[in-house]
Amino acid sequence: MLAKLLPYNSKRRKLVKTIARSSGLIQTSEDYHYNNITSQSGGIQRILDVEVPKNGPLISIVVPAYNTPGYYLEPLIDSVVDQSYQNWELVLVNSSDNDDISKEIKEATLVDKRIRVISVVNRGISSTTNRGIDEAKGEYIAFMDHDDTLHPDALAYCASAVINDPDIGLLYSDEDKLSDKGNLYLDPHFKPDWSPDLLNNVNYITHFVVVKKKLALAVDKLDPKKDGAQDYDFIMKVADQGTKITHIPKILYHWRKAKGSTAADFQSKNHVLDAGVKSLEDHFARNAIEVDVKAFEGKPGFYKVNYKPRHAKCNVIFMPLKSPGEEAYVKSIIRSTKSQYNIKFFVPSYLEKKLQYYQFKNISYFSPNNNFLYDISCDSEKNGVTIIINSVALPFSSKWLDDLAGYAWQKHIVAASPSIIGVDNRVIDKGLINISGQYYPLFCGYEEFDTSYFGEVEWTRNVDMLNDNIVAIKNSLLKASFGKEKNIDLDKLLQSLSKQAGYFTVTGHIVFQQLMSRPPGKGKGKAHYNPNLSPFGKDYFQLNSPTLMRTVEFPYALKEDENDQK
Amino acid sequence: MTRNKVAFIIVGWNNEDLLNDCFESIYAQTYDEIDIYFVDNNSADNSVKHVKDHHKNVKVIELNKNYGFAKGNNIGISQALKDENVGYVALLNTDAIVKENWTETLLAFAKDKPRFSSLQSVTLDYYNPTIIDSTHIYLNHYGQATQGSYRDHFIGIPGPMRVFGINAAAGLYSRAFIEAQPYKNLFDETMFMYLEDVDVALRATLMGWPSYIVPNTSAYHMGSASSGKNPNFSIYMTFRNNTGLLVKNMPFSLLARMLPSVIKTDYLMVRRLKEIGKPAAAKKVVRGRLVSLLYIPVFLFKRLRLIGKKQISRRHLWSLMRNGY
Repeated sequence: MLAKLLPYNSKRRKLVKTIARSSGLIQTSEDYHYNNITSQSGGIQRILDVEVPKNGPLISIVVPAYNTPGYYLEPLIDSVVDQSYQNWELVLVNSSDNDDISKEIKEATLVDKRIRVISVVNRGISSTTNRGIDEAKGEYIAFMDHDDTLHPDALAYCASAVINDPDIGLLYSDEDKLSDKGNLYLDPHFKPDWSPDLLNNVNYITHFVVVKKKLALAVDKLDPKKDGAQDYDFIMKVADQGTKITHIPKILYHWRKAKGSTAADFQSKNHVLDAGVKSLEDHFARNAIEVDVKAFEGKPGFYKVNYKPRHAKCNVIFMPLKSPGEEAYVKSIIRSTKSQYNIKFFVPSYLEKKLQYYQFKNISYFSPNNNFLYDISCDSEKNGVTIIINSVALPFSSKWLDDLAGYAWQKHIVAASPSIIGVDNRVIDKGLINISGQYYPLFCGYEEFDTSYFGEVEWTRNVDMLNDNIVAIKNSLLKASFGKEKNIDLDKLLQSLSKQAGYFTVTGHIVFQQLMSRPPGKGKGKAHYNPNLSPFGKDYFQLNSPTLMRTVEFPYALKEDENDQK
Repeated sequence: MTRNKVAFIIVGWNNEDLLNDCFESIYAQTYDEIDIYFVDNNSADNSVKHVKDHHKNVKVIELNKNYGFAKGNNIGISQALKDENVGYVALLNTDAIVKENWTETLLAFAKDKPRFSSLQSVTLDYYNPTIIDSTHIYLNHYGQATQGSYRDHFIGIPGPMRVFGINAAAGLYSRAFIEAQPYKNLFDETMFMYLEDVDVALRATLMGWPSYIVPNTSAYHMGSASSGKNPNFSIYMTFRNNTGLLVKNMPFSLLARMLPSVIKTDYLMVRRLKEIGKPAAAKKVVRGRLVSLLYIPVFLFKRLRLIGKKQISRRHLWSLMRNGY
């Protein structure tokens, strides 16, 4: 490019690059580093973490092909034939209306006897894929798009996971993107283990999905009314059956950024929004939960779930922080919170004098001795939620209490917490994750709307432990966690809660802004993180994924000054 | 009809001392139905007599002139294919030996493939079996023919891979591919030796007949035993055949994309050889290229037979030329 002739890191060079990038002249990727690693490793000679199983179940790969050009289909067929686990079959469901393309697709059967081509009339992607599922003979079914490719060890990992544990009903793996021409690997997406609240927010499990055929048939396969979000709907239907879901933390699927498909261009797919909202509503209806589901405007694929209030009462406990200006902060929260619940605010007694001017009605004062949490929880009702506020933070929305209490009231959630950002719009608290025995704060230091290899910062996530900032718990669980000891602070409370069966949730759309800093909590956990990534701001990923062993440091995307030395 | 026989074809020129090892490795194969053909390119030593005396089961074809590797193989293949039972043709260099399960493993892989052109196992170095001689052969974006993973340490190949083409030092070709050729013979006889297997590989890829590397077996190759005594000859022949190979097979748009890199690589090669003190080799490079330009009309004429046979998209071909797999 001409930009190479200009001095390194100068303004002229950056200007030329921004013009070229915005006009589409060059294919932009900040991941040349990632691409260098992945292109050197993973080929004819490669190291596997598992042994290739010799006698395993038959895995059927179902590919709906609609007007697939040869330069997309040939790499797909090559990548399936190149699998190190050889007990597969490939079912190409051809719904093309172009005869030349149909002829080319049918020649795929000559490449290998395990490839079959079925011709159907095009009635949408769901019905096409359903025909493929019917024709598949394998015990497990894997789904692929017609222009994507697989890593050559993908089926080996899936088959060995399934052989070790035959109860598994659904498997998913990490993925990265492939450029349209097929020369660059970009934007890996490393996923956490099964996180139901994240799935309600966004379909983070897109590829590579392997499902037991019995389950797929029991769930009535894909729903044609939800074309556009049919895979999202399918995954939620399978999960509602109660099967075991595992995650393979390796990058096994390459999702091609073909021009004109959803990976590259979202604007034209409005029916995707409605289909996604419908599938979420059906999912909650199946589990008899009342919700309000909305899609984000201008941001397709992301959904906001607000659980409607069901319980009676809500207690809000302000922990005695003894920070300056505490009465102003308590007063602003009590005044601004609007809720359908019957709320009672519990405030430490040393604030009584300053707050009595405002004549709040639903307030009660407690003396901050050692047992106050126990006393309050004893008196509280069974059908209630307690929210403990242990930091100087103000909410962005006045309806935060209903949303947060709704999350805490769900059966599968043990405790919920909002995300807390600082005055500089950087994340302070998004939960804690357990990495080889130690807890680290998730996304600490990232900006509020940043993206990373682990997804976007603003998603609602399930984490391994909550920070002791703002916690919402059901009253029954709160009472049960006090054993013989009455003197428990929030740290120990959370640790005792972690032994309960359920998830910790950090919501993405309920946000607080912290005015005064406290150091993030430490604790001594399940991996709601990805073993390929490091805990802190740098996307430092260790490629023990299906390639050679190498640790790489990827520069954290801070705004760099020209004066910074390299 | 299922054709189960494998015909091994060995072309020799003045390497009598290597023949024993070669034949004994074929006798040790676990697969039963094997025929062995030995084609002798007018050796000056006693290769023919040695074979006729000590290896009675080998069918010898004596030639009165050194026709080269390509034509020698073609003669051997045409002789072997006269037998109706022969379904696969295995080419083996005199300086190469194969493991006992070589034929069996390759044929077990081949039974699932209605249309494949060639197979090979990983070819390791004869003297140091932990180092790879070649896993595959391909033409890269600069027009240079490369042996895949040359001199890499052998870690292991977990599964089969579709590759651009195979190394004819130890490789298996299917009869279906040889009969589906637009040409009468498999190898191009104008290329005396060097790069004729790349020509076959490129032709097979273009026609949509894939090649594979198969795991769990291996072959061992010494490397350039015949022309090792004269390395300048190999450089000359490589560059002489390279242009012809490109002109004969490559789609013109890809050829235009490659042309600047080809010229640049030649210039850098010549400069490098002069720097390290090998001016004779540099002269051979230049001479080879200039002579190949004279051969261009011959190869252009051969291109006519490939019209209408190209079944692979140019984008996929370009991506296969990136790494060979």
